[in-house]
Amino acid sequence: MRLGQACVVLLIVSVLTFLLVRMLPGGPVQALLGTHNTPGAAAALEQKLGLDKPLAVQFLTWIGSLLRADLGFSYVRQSSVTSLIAASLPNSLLLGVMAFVMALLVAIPLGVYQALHPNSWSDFAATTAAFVLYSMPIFFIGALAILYLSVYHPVFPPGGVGPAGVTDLSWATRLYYAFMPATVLALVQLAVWSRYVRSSMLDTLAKDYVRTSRAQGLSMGQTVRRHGLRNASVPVIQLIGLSLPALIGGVVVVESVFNYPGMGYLLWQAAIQYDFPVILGVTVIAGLAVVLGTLLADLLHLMVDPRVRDGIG
Amino acid sequence: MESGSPQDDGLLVDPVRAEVIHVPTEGESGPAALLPESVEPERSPSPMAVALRHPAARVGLVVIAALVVFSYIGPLIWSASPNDTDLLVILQPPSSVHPFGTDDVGRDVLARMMVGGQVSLNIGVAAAALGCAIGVVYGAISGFAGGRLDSVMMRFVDGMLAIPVLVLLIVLAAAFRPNQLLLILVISLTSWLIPARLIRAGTLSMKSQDFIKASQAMGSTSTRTLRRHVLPNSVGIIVVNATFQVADAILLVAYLSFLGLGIPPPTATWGGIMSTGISYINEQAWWLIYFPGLAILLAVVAFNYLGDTVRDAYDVTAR
Amino acid sequence: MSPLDEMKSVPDVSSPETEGVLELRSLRVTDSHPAGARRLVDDVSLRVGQGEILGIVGESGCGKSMTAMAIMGLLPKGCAITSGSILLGGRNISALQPSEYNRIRGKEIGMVFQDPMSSLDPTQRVGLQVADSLRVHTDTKSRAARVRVVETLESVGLPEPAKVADSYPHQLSGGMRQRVMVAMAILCGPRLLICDEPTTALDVTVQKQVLDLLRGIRDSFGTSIVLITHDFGVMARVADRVAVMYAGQLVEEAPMGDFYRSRAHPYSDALLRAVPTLHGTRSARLWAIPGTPPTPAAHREGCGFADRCVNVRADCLNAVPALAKGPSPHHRLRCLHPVEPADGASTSSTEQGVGQ
Repeated sequence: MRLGQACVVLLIVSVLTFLLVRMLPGGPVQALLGTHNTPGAAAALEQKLGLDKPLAVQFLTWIGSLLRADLGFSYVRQSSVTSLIAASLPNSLLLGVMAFVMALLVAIPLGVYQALHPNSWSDFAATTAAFVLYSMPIFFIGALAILYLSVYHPVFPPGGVGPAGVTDLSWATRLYYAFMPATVLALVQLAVWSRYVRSSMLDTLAKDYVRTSRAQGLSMGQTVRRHGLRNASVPVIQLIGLSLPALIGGVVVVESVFNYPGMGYLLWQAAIQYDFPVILGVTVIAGLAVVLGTLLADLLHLMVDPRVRDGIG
Repeated sequence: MESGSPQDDGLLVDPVRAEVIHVPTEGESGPAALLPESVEPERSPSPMAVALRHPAARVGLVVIAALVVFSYIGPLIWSASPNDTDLLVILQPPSSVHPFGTDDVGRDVLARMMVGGQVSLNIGVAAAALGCAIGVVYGAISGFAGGRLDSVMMRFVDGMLAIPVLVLLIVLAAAFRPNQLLLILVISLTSWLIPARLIRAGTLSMKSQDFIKASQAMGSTSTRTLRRHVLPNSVGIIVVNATFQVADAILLVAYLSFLGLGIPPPTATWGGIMSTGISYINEQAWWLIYFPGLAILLAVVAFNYLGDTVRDAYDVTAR
Repeated sequence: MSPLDEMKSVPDVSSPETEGVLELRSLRVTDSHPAGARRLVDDVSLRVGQGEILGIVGESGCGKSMTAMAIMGLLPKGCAITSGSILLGGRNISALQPSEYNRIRGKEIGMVFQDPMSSLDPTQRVGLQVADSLRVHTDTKSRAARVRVVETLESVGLPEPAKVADSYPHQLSGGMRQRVMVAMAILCGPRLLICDEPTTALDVTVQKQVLDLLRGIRDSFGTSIVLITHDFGVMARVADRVAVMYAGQLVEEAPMGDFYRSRAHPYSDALLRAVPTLHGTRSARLWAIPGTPPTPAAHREGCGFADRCVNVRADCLNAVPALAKGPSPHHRLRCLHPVEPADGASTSSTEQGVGQ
């Protein structure tokens, strides 16, 4: 069922990007070529897009080139979109995964702690902090981080993936440079995720099997580890899967703040320069990332909950 | 607080809640009176009224009122021009002449903050309102149609929800150089999804109620049912969600202006001021970071908080 | 076979002189209600002898389950034992530290809950869940634990116990799940088993099997059992002694036979009369006493049952009657105006009603 939904998402993204190109001011050829519009290039592009053929054929041509990982050519950058993305994607993945892991590492213990001490002073404080963090514009946190940790106290570099001019970066350097942007990204996510964990764990702790486990002689901590985490993770996995689009939006902003050359930065630069081949390529990849993330969440859900495997619930 | 998340949706679809917020209207007393007492929903004080009497909700309202006064009345009192440049006083920290300092071309930041506030509030409120309107129509059609059409329409909503909003906005902003009106349209294109789900859920739960079945059997049309029952019943949920949508829209406007893809210069925006601040962060132009940052934070917190407290007030009246 | 006949086959182990496995002394449990701590369990004293099955009966909200949870040391948040004590084998356990209590639960006291559907973790294999008790209380290796779990599952009458151990809860029927719960409760050989409405969620035929299983456990291991139920049919099938609770208080207590012959509290009498006599209505709600039990209160002026009682007099409203000696030996009663010993007609109707 979710696989069907994933297909719907991909379909929407591809139709949307396809239509967008056709709707661009000045027509697709003019928009895709920008200032590099020479008669020769225009004719070649027209040929490639099949503009003389019916719209349906044009769409299938577009899908066909997507399937061949041919995302077009950036005339602004004089480079194939695929190679531009290939250069940026690893940086974004590092940033995203780092932020993801950091957010989970804090959100899970925090949410569990709050669920074990609901309505306590610390629960209230954490809830308030999460509320403010959630409403905080990402670039504000990013700017404060740079201001205090790079400008006033030069602890972390203010941006980039590594020292200027250095191409062969070690893992340590990459992690060091990605640390601050990833932390900023993680802060916003963990505000939301700790709420998910808290409410899911509260629901789980009220379940009868938790009482059973206590009656077996397990301590509260043992029970949480033995039954709480696994059961509470079921809705949390789904919610986190659903918050991937927001995470991707956050990546765009964070990379722009820190001039971090990932997919978001690529998208931003392309948008400013009206580099439509790149814009469309990044959009397609973002859609793909969401779909893959959702499928991964479903897979995890399947692993955690045996009832789903047997087709119940 | 997780506005726009599916969690809100699930909570609000709760049949108990859907029933509790029903406010019966006079027009339908005939068919309803024919049915057993238990079917007829209870008359309760308007939840909105209850909520707004709530002191916590007032805090949100007061902050929003202060922002409105600052943005719209402020320029009448503070006479400095937001767009006049003065290269003799660039990047000046706050002083008595320029209480919020000046930017990279010597413009008065206080005046620019006020204009930026207008932009944020105009777009935020209008986009949320338009988004809710679209959502109401879409959700009602989907809910009343039912069957195949309903499931196709809802799959589309699910699909749209999976598309990163900001990426979509960047693409649209690059394609169509935005002005305020266009930004409102574009943002409302992303903010109708949750209201559509809510209205659909409200429509479905109404459709299953006996007195609606009775009134439909007596010839009442879908539009009439929508106007008489679903809308009065869902107005609270929609208003609560709209405040979340305003908060989200204000953030989105800020992000777009920050990325240089929002309202084109020289019009001042909070995101744009922040963007300048980051460009001159090595000059330690903290005032270009703190003032817009805090303003956005304040506005977003105020709308989220208002929505939250009103929703909690519903929960209380529901008990 | 009528329940009375069945009871004759059970040895009388209920004499108060028997060394008590469990003893409650003036137990009081209160919550933290904003308007003042309300007494959920009020001055309850009970004793359960070695190998005895004590049935606690009463309407929902009368404090039965709260008493059980107090014994387990698992009172809900905000509720606490404010006076009295709980003795397990002569040792006061009501004042134990949480970590010490963990060593008692599952080892010395086992518990079976009402709803086997929700009482097992849906995400874990049954065998592993059952084995948890062994894992925390002994240093049994996982392979030995597995053998022990499968043996225990077999001993509670589960066919193909190894297969059951590898199943997830949703793959088992309600009756099987409740047997798993029983196996879990007896795995470490506890001397006391608390069963809170163990058959309420089950089909009638499965109910009988589970009750027979409980009695079998008592017979083979000498385990003392506290059986909490609102269903007199269940009670009659297995209990040696009956304690009736109302509004948090113990209102009557007697050996089963005495209770049938000479119950004296109007509430007990009403409970028994409320048992339907026609087979067809057996599944309907048991209670037909007008009114509802009072909500828990901080303080009570008179008898809690007064406003539903047929025998109520003016003095019932003035003071809470004390728990005093009843009409037969080993019989305790909290009532100023008890009913006359039941007439033959009602007794026989009761037997028909509960004997199904």
